[in-house]
Amino acid sequence: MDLPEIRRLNLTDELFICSQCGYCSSVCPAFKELTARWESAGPRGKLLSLKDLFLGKEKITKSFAENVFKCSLCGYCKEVCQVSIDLVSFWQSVRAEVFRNNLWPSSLYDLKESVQEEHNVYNMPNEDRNIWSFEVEDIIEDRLNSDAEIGYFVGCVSSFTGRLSSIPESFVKILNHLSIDFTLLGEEEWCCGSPYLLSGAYPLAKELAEHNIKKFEQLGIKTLITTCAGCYRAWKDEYPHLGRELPFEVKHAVEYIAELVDMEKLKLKRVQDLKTTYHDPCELGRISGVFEAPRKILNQISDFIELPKIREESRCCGAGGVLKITNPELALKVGFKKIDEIESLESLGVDTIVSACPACYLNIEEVIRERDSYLKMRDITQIVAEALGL
Amino acid sequence: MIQKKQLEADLAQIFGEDRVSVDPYELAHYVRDIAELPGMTHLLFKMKPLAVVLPNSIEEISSLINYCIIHKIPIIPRGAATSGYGGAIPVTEGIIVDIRGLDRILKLDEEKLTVLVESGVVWEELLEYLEHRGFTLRSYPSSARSSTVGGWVAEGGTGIGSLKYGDVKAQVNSLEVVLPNGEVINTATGIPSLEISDNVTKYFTESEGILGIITKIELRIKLKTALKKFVTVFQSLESLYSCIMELVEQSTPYHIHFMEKDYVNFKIAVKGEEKLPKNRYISLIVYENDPDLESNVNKLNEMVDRNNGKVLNMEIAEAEWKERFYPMRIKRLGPSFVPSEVYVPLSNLKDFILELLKKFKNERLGIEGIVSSNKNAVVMTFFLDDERKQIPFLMGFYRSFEVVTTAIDFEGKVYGIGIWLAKFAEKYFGKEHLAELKTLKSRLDPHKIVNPNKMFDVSTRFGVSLNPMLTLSVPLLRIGRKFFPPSRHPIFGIILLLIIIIAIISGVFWVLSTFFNIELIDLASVLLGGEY
Repeated sequence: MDLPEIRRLNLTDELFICSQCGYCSSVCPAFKELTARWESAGPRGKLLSLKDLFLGKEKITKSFAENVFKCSLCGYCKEVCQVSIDLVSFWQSVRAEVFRNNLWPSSLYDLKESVQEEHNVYNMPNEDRNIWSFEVEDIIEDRLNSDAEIGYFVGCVSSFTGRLSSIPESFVKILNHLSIDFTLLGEEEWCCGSPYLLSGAYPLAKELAEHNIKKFEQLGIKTLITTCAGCYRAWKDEYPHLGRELPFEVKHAVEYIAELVDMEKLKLKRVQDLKTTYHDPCELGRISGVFEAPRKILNQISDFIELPKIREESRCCGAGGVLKITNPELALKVGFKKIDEIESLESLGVDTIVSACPACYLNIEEVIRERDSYLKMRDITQIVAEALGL
Repeated sequence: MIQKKQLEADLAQIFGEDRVSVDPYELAHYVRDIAELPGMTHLLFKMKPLAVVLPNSIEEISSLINYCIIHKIPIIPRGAATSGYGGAIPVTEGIIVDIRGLDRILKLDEEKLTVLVESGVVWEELLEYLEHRGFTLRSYPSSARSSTVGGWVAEGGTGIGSLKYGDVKAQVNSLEVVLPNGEVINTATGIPSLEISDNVTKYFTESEGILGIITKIELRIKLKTALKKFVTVFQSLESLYSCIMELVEQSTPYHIHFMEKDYVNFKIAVKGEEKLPKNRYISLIVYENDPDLESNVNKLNEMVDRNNGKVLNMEIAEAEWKERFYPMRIKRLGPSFVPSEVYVPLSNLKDFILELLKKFKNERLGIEGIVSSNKNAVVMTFFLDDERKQIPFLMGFYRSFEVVTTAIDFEGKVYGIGIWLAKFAEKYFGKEHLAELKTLKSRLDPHKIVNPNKMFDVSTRFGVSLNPMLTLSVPLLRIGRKFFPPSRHPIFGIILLLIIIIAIISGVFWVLSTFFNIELIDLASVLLGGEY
């Protein structure tokens, strides 16, 4: 059968290039946590199914569609692929085929309704986008939709999840502490489209991207900063493929803070008795290649301890690739393995897991709670703000 | 034959509904291994399994075998299916047992330097587990990132570290196996039901799953040692070969990997980087950091100098060491390839490679391998091809067999048996060992329950032995490929293929009538299932 999305990205050859070595299935964190590890549910099996689809031996079935979403799009499969297939793009384009055939998991149709109506993933009135800013209202009130060189994109998860409000709060405090002028869109900020992009609904994402780009363009920003790994990837890697090049650069907050440290504009003090390790969010680390900046920061402000598997080999927490939406139970199981890994190193004395992604934060925090673990979860902006006494 | 619904219900009683599938969509994923087989294979064998089950305990496997004995249903054990010999794929209708659910590391004995694992444990995970605790594996396969311990033990072979620590047999202390008669044995203490009390481990390693389902393995391990890696570069195959021979004779390397220049060039083309020099013969030499290291390294430098070679920087050596799990990178240039893997005596290695290069001078052929002992090398060949050109791709399979026969001409042997290479089983195992294996198989598995129709005399679905068919096919396919290269229009290939099929069938009938006195009319009678 015709697979136009896969053809559009020139990925049909990859179906024949796959060597079926199974390295992808062997490392896939979601596949490994399935109760029954059927070959068809692992990356190797899905590639074989796709080949059969392409050759006309099969049609896209409901069970194939379900398997396609048993994946956190962490990209570890791409990392270990023997024949260097760009599997992240691949899985996204396969999801686009599933979307085209109206076989999305039902939870994604709910999400679609929410984003289409309210422009955020929580089905909350978008006028409430600033509810996170209660403590920093006086800092941001004059900056909403003002002209500035720095634009801050908060993202849905931090904006609408009460216990994460301290992430954008912390970042705003850091910028304010350094007297850096910045702007935000407030209720004009729309979902970045990441859930659509991760689910293959490119045309829907394009509409959101165009709105967000236009708004920031009108404010004349030169740099867009976000504290969310998912938004970062959407802006940095995906938006340019949706129509036009961005007229400004995109940075994650950790990159920006690390630059300020390098330029000696920001001096970080050590936080006493803080033993951290860093969880590389897949979208920021393995997929976007941002590894050094968070480590530089954490080394300065804490006793920083590396896990055995880091950077490209870091273990996914299970939150990504809309897995938390389509299969929350599986996402949690993947997360348990992350905590197992850290708890098994108790002798190293890590007490705090730090990350730079609100979605990872939420999933790991939930796992810690479920497990009644001694570990604590923090975002890197929270720790930097603490180190600055803010 | 038991009804499909009844079978599903019965299996669900053993495994629970979640771990049994009779869904054709699912089953289709289990009729292949790493090899890309021509579609015609499905005409030769009944490859569609009846069911797939995912056991996670030995009790479940025992129950399954007892059930299959009663109903006379074949069982096909399967690991990660990372071998290409067909040992893990069904050639008779049966139940596939995917052992990857048996994935626990059970016991590390730091005193005796052993580790007991279930057979579905992935080699790399075991390696990480051991290294984290200050130990390591003595040797492991190049497919370690996905292959299972049980899979490699059953398949047999050599890998990283084998040069110093021996092949897979040398790693195994004992196995727990569920036999085809339902008995569970520890191979170290024999087979009680056959009144054998000797250690029978050697029969079960490399047996490709025909003697039972391996459920536990006790492996010999060692203390973790730092490794020192070197990448050496030579201008000619002769220099590379001389250096390897001298190294093996005069030092004690842990691992040697070598690459013929075209393979190097393919690899550079795929990676898009120039860290390795083009048009050079390259080897990765690894030593353990033991008291002999300094002397070993000095000898290495001397031998490389003497053979006009060069040692590249450490960064490249580390990168090549990481590449030890990636022999198939060059497939990207295919997009398919026809692979082959053989043992060749080290003394004939150079001449064997030269012969292959001569025979296949117009082919896109990549050759690499490892020195597997101080006497042998394992050579892998990859003929880059395109499976989308189905007929020339099918015909191109003759090259895989021709690599094997060339290796045998050079006193080598096949690397595995599986479905395709049964005619070489005697050469592989030795006459005596093969005879013992056959006896054990017939005594343990009179009803041909476990992985039947493999390794000895493989029969097609028509009851005709595969061996004479392959013997006849190879020269015909060679001719076919010559007259029908991938560049020709498919219609030529279809006509040629029909001629080949008619020729093969005629040949088989001729053999049957000439040597076995079976006339066409008798055969028709048998095939039609009644009086003629």
